[in-house]
Amino acid sequence: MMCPSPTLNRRRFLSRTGAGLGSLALGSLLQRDALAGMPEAFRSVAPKAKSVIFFHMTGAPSQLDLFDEKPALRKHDRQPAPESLFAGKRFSFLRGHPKLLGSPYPYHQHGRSGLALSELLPHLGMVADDLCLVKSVVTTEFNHGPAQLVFHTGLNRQGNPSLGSWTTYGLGSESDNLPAYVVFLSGNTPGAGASLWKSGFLPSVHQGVPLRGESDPVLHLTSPEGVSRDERRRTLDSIGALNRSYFESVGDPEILTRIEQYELAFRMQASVPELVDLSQEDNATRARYGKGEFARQCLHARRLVERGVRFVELFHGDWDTHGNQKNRLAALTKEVDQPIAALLADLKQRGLLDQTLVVWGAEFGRTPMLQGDESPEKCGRDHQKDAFTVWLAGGGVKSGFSYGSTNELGNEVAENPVPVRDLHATMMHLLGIDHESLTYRYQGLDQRLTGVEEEAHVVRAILA
Amino acid sequence: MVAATSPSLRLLAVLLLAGGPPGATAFAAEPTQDGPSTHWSYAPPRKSVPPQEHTSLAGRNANEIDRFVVAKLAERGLALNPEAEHARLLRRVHLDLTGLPPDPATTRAFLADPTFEHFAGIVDGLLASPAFGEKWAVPWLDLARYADSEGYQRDSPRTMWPWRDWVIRALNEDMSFDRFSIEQLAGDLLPEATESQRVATAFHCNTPLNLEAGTDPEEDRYKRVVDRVNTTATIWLGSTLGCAQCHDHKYDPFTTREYYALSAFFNQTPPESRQEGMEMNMANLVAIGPVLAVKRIDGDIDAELKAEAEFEAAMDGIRADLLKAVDEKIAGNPQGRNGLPEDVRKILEREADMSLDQCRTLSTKLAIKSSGMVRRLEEAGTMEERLKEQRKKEVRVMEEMAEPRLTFVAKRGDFLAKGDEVRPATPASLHPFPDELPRNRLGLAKWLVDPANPLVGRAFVNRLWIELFGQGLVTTPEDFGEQGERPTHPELLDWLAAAFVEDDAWSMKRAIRRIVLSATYRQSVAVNAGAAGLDPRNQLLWRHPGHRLGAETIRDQALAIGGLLDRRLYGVNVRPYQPATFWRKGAGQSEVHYLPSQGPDAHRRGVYTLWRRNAHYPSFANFDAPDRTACVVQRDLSNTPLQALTLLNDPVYVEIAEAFGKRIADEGGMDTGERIDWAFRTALTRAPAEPEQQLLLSAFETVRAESGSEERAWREVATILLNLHETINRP
Repeated sequence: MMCPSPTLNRRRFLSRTGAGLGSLALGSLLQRDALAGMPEAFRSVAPKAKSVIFFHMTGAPSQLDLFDEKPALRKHDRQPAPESLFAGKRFSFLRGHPKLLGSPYPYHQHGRSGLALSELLPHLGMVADDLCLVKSVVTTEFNHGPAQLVFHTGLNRQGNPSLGSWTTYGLGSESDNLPAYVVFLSGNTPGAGASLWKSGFLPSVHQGVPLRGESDPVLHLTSPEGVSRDERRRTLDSIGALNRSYFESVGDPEILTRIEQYELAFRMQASVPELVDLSQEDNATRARYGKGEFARQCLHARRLVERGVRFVELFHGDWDTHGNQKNRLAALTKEVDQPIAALLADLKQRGLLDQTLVVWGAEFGRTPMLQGDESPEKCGRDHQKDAFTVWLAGGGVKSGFSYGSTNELGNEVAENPVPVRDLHATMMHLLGIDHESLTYRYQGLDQRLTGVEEEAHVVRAILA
Repeated sequence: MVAATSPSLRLLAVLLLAGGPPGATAFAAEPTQDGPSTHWSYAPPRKSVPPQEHTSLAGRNANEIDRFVVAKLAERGLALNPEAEHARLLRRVHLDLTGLPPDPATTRAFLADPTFEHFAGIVDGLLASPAFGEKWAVPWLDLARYADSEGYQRDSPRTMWPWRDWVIRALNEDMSFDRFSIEQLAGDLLPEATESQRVATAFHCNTPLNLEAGTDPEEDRYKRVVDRVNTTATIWLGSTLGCAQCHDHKYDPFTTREYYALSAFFNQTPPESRQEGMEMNMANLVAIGPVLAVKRIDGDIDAELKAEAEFEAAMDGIRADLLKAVDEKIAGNPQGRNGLPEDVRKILEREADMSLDQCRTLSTKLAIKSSGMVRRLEEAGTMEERLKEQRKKEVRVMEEMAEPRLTFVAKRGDFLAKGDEVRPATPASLHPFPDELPRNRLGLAKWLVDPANPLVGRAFVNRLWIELFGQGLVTTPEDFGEQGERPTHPELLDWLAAAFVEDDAWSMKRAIRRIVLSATYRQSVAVNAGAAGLDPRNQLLWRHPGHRLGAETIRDQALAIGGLLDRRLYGVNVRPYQPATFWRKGAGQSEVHYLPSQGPDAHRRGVYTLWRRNAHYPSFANFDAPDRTACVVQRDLSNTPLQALTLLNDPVYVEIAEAFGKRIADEGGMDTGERIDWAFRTALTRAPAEPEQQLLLSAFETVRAESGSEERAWREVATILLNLHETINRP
């Protein structure tokens, strides 16, 4: 029987793809072949990074207590905030005339770059020379769900593809045995839920695959009890043989894809447990990452990019410190500081940092205004959309560098504002993707990550 | 004929920009010129005379659909495939109309007498079966973004299933699509509205509700109005109005002002949430929208009693263990219980009457917090919630406020940036709003299903086509506008739309019947190399596409093959097995423990499965079932390794394979060959070909020889059959 062109595999996909994308229509697993040596319109920039590790601190950490030091805020601690900080503005919870809250944490300069980080991040301080702080990120939403959606998909409503989905849609996968886009959850599920790693209107093969911290890291990965690998192999052989005979009688190439996916599933049954078996790592490495679920996931992240996975996302929560900020911030930073610093150092040591773009951020930042009880133990900060900090490292960004600044009290950007869509455009650029050319036809428009309404700009000043 | 009034196209002239580059398709839109547009979808559908019957259709019981399709094929020198093998066709039409495979008696009878008349009779029987509504409700639930949780951060449970049952009943009664539409959009405004008509209005209450603390209820209300406008436009106008929310539509004749004028129809319902109380300095939100208590229906009492018994049994265990733990704690203390705080003593006096809340208090105050106890208390909380759900029988409904709310243009989509005031009105470029209709939701609903609406019939028949052929005659079913694709068969689309409105009087069953009786539908799926070269996407329909079954149908079919399917209709949602940890604790999420349904409820049809937006049933999600946060016109048809893992390893499918294996041994016949034949026919309706029979026989014999167990060997055969591409696709 004939075997028509592989593009038949995704009829519907093709029917929605803009003219420039042609045979990209194959889903990430097959894209590996489809992309080989194929100059695509959107790949107009030389890639710096091959993969992304994306940290999302669900709930929004206080940039003022971690990265953006404000002496003036400390000086006016517990004094009524100037009216310009709140008059005519909308907050989630702040009402009446709020007071200012100075950061109780001293900042220390680190490394040759002299980047200053608060004392809550001692480990990150040790790799400060690898960081590129962007202190002037601006978003449009001040509630978690919509803001998380903006941060991941560019739009404040559900149903749009995530960053990771756009990335695998554009670049495919370099791994035969693992999904192209892997997600880890630690702590609370973010409010916007699975929409943050779903493929929206892109084909669902581009959705993030959440690996769980449990014994079964991919849902239903393990064969039923009592079924050995040999037995499973034999079952798949029978299924494959019957599928092939069906293909011979009807010739639909979708059947070949089915056979291929059953084979990948079988390989994942072996590769995923190997992936999550950290006993292969030496003791010093494991010790460097520290203990706990998040530390384990950071180590997994390195193992995933080593194995060719394109996009790894790690959620950690809950950073929504409206109250009891003191204890909570201490506990939260303790969970993430060491593992993230260890990951950066580990990537660097293995020569992977140059080709891996690491991004750390959240849906928004927190206010200089105090929320709740004034006591040092119980006070907290409200949501702030107009200025917050994101940092990047590795894959083509400047190191030991700080970009953008906020005003004296940290409530607004003073120079070089970076809208979330610019951050997205920059990430795409570092991956070698022109964000304006990577499109997908949906609802009558050539949709793109950076939106169809406003222009997005690559932040050239932070490119190495 | 559809009303002759041509829609005013004046606005088009003003607003249209040159169209963007069309998608790479054989049926690309012609580039739009500046000046007045005659965009096809804004002109009324014309019921043209079908082309003459092509000679190749002789003896094929062709209908008008085939005359249109074959004329187009013939232009390219192509023809329809031959008719599908009888057994395959029978299976296909069963799965398409009811989502379930044929029973053996029907199959035997049809194979003995495979005439077109017999086939038509079977189609009529399927359309009359209650399973029809269960199958066809699913695409409507996707459009209506039906779910059992609020969405957003909280994603707490909500009661909407009485509306889901309303949809199934309406489809089974073949309620005409105009009435189906009017009751859902504005049943509450009909004169002397019945309970059923008011339940129907839950349709637009399916919109997600943001109860995250700190949300501005007015902003969220605005977002829900926007969602209602967009969903309505997608379903009844095949249009993406969303862009006009922020700026005049770049490509289609809709201005921002018109967008908000349309939203004014939906802006008249009362608030659905409000801030209530403060906790840790956060303004909590509660749902306060109108609800309707609905009457009990058959079978409810049993379900309620069962839920009560389960809850009580769990509570008995908790009480006994708590009391035992208390005794252990005070053992050795001479004062005994008297040494405990007074409130604890008071609770303990109630012994077997301790409420769940009191048990929680005991556990906290006396630090009886073994992981088992904490988990059981949480589970009991979930059970109590479900029991409340059983008893509540409320559904959210639409109501009109006594005092109209003013509607303003929201500049750039920002609800705080109020522009001009607008009155309820429909876009000027579409058919006129009749003077005699009231300017409220009821008037709007009647306007939407006015035969003069050029879009409603086309959008509807196109969705039927998607369901039956995997892709629409318009491949951008959510956008019939300038930026959408042009129809592959414009005359056929128009003819179907006109026939649906005029000849069928909006009967959905008649419209479906016409399509499945066509030779186009009945042809085989075989790929023909020549045709594939000319039309690789099969847009001309030279074959039946044989596209994958939907998530629910894959599961329902497997349950039926395994003999496990529970055919009871309607009622509170059910929870198939999924990993207990799948519902992770989320910020503010009210229900975190997943308790799978026990007994027959574990084997109900997929349409009854609990739909939690932020964590929807993973085995459906893997087969592209949407999370229902927004209107979805067409599901993806992905083909992923996670699907393989689901069908091979999900305990639901493992259980089904085991049950099917037992059935093969028990019911399959006298010897191995006969049983393999029976198993194959049960799964795929058709008889196995000789090599297929041989392959299964050898698989059976290998496993039997190695394991020494016939049971395992039959389970192997069952597993193989349940995982075949043919099994999860239309044959």
